[in-house]
Amino acid sequence: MLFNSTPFLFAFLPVSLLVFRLLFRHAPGWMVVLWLSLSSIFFYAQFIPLHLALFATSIAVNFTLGRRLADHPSRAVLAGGIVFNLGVLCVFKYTGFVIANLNTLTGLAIPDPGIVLPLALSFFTFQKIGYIIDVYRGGAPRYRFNDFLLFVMFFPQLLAGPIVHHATVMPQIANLSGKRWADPAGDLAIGLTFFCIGLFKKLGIADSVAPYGDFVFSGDAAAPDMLTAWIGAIAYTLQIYFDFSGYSDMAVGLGRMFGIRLPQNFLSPYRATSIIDFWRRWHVTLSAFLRDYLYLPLGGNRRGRFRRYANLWIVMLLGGLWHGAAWTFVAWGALHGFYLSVNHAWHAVRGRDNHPGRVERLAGWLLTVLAVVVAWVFFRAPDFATAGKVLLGMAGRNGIILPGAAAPFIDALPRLKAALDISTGGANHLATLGGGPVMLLSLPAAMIIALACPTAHQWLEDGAWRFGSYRFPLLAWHPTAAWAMALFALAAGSLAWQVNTVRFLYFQF
Amino acid sequence: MPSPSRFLMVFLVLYGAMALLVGVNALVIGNTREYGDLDRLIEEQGRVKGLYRGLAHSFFEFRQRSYARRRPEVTIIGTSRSQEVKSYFFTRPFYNLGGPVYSPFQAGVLADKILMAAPPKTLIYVLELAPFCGKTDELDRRAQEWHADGGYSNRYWLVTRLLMEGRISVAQVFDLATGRISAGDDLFGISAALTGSGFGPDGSIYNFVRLREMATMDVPARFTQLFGLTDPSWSERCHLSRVAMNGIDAFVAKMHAVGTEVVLMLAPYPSKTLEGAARQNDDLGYLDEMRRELATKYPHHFFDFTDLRPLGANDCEFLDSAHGGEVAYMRMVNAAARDPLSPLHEVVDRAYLERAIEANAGRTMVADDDIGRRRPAMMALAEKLRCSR
Repeated sequence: MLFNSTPFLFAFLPVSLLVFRLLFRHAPGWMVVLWLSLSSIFFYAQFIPLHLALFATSIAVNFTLGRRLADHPSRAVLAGGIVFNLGVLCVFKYTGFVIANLNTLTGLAIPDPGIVLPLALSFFTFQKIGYIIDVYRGGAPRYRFNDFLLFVMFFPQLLAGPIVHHATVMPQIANLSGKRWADPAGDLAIGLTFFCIGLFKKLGIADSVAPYGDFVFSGDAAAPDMLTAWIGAIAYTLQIYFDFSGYSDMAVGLGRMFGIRLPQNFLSPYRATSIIDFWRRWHVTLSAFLRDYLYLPLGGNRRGRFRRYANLWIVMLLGGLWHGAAWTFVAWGALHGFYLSVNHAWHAVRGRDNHPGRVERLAGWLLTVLAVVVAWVFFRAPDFATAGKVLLGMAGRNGIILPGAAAPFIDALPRLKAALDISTGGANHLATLGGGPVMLLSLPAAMIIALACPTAHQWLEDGAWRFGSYRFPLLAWHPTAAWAMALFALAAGSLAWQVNTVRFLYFQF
Repeated sequence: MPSPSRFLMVFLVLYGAMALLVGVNALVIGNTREYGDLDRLIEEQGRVKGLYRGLAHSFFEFRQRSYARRRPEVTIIGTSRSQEVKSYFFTRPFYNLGGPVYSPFQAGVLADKILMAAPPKTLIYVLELAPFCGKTDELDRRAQEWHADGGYSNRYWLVTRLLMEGRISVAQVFDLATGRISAGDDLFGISAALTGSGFGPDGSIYNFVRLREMATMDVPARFTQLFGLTDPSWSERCHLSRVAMNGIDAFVAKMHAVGTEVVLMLAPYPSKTLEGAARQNDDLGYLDEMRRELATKYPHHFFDFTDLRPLGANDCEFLDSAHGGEVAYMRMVNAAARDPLSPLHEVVDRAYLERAIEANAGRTMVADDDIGRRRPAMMALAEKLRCSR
C-alpha cells in the first residue's frame, strides 16, 4: 500500500484521517495518539504482516534500553543497544551478501537462506540508534510508550523517511496528546498541497523518465552508444531525485495533515556547485544522521586532514552499504568519499573564504553534476559489468548512433563522423522504447524543474514562486479555490498518467 | 492568508467525485469476479470448467500462472491465430499459450519468462507472415516489436479507463455495477460477463460472441471485414527478414536445449484472403524463400498451412479474413500429426480428430467438451452457420 496506490488514497487515508480528526475534537489526547499508532501498524501490516513481530520486538527492546539508559547511563548498555540494532539490520539485510562473498572467496557452496529484508528496517534502525545514543548523552527525556510507539511507527515517515529525530517529533506528539494544534484546517490545506506536488513528482515525472534508465541499465541494451548511455544515465539521475523527493514531499504532506511537521529532505540538490554542497542538499536527514552519529563520533575534522578524509571515506562507504547489500553501492559510496576528499582538498588549497566567480561556479556545477551522474551509474547498475558497459558507452567507446534524419548533416562531415564513430539510422536502442517526442520531452522538462523550480517547501513557505532568480508573485500559493482545483488536477492527472500508461508492456510480464 | 475553508471544500468535492468513480469500479470488478487473487480465480475456473476473460489482471500473468499450474506436455504459442487449438485434440496434457507472440523475438522472451521454468515436451509455434517481411530497417524492427495484447490495467481505475476509451458504455457500467449483467457461475471477468466468451481452463478461446456476429452477416462479408488490416505484408514489397529467420533458429535452439521439440506451422488464411493478397501484391517471393528455407532446415517439424484447401477446408471454417475456426485447426494439427516423424505423431488424438473433422466440416466451432455442452444454443447456432462454400 504505497502512497500513490488507490487503496491508500481512497480507503486508508480518508478513514484514518477522518477518525483522527474526529478523535482530536471529541476524545482524550492519548486516544488520538493511539489511533495514529494503530493506523500506522495497520499500514505496515499491509506489506508482510510477519515483519511486525520483528518491529514490535525492536520497539520493546529500544524503549526498555532508553528507560535504562535514562536512569543509569552505561556505555556497555549503549553498546549492547547499538549491536542489537545493527545486528538485526545485518542479519536481515546482509546475510545473503556475506554468504555470496564467502562462497566466492572460499569456493564453498553455503546456501543463501533467502531472508527477506523487512521494509523500512534500514530507516527504522538508524532512528532507534540515534534515540538510544541521545538518551545516553542525556539529550532525550523519558517518553511515554504510547508516544514512543507513534514516533517509531508514524506511517508517513516509516518506509522511506525523512529520518526523523526524536527531538523534532516527540514535542509535536506531546502537543497532539495535549490536544494543542494551532491550525488544523491550514495544516490540512498545506498537507494536501505537499501531497499533490509529491504525487506529481513521483508519477508525473519520475515514472515518465524511468523507462529510459531502466532500459539502458537492463540487459537488453547491449553496449549502448554514447547518446543512449547518456540519456539513460541522466534519466536515472532525474528519476531517483523525483522519485525520492516526491515520496518525501508526500510524507511531509501526510505528516502535516496529521499535525506533525516532518523535516525536508531535498534542497534542489542538482543545483549544487560542489559535492560538499550536494550533500547538504541531497537526502538531508540521512546526511545529518551520518554527520551526528558517525562522522563526528569518529572525530570529524578535529584530528587533522588525513583523519578527516579517512572519516569521510568511512562514512560514505558505510552510507553506500546502507543503501543496499551490493558492491556497486559500496563503489557509489567510495566514489562520493573520493569526491568529498577532493573537494575538501580543493578548499584547503583555495581557501574556504574564497568567493568563486560566475564562471567558476558554473564549472563547479558542471563538474558536480558530472560526478554525481557517474556515481549514479554504479548505484543503479545491477552489477559492475553493466556499470562498465554504460560508462564505456558514455565515454563514446561504442560510437554514436544518430537518427536517420541527421544523415545528410553527418555525411557532410566525414572526418568528424569517422573520428567519433558516428552512424545514422541504425538500431538506436532507445528507439525500441517508443513513446515518441512526448516521452523524449519529459527529460528536458524534468531537468528544468529540477534546476529552476523552487522546492515544495520554498514555494509554500516563501509565499512566491521563484524561477531561477525571477519571482512570480502570481504563482504564490494561497489556500484558494483556484489552487485547490489546480493541485487536484495535477494529482488526478498524475494518477491518470499512471493508470493509462502501460509501462514495460513486454519486459515486465 | 485567506481562510483555507474554500480550498478544502473544493478539494473535498473533487476528491469525492473521484472516490465515487473508484467505488463504481469496485462494484463492477466485484460483480464480475475480477477482485482478488489470480491463483484462486484460476483454481475456481478449473473447478467449474469456466471461461475467463478479465481485464483487471495482466493477461500475461493469467497465462503464466495457468501454465505453471497445469505444467503441460504440449503447448502452442502464437498470436490470436493459435488460440483455437483445444486440449481435447491431444492425448497428453495441453495448455494453449496463444496470444502474445507475434514475432520470433517475442517467442524468445516468452521462453525466458514462462516456458523455461516448465518446458513442455512438444511446442507448436504458429508463425505469422508479417515478421518475415524485412524490406527496411523499420520493418526489421517491427519484427522485434511485441503484440499489443499484453498490457495490464490498474484494476482500481479499469472501468474509468474503459469508459474514457469508449470500450464500454455508461449503461453497461450501470448494469455491471448493479448486477443486472452478472458473470454467472462459469464466467470470470468483465469481458466474459459482457460477451459470454473467454478462455477455457486449457487456455484456448471460446469465441461465442464472434459466432453471434457471424450470424448477422453473409459469408463474403466475413472476409472483407478484416482484410487489409490483418497483414501489412500483403501490400509491401519485401525481402526475407534475416532478423526473423535468425530469431526462429535461436528460439528452436533454446527450446531444444531444454528438451522441447518445436513444431513450426504457418497460420492459415481463407481462400478469399489469399486471392485478395495475390491481386494486391504480385511479389510475394520472400514468402516462398522463407517456406523453402524452413522446410529444408526443419524437416518433419515445419508445416505450411497458409492455404488449407489441400486439407479439405473451405472458407466457412474461418471466422474472418485471418482467423480460422476450431475445425480448421483440427485439420492442421491432424495433418501435422500424420507425419510419423513429426513430434505431434504420438501426442495427438488422431482417431478423434478424423471423426470430428468428418462430422463437422464447414463449421467454425465444435466445443466438444463441458463448456460447449453447457451452451446448446451456441452449438445450434454453429450448426446453423455451417456451410460448404
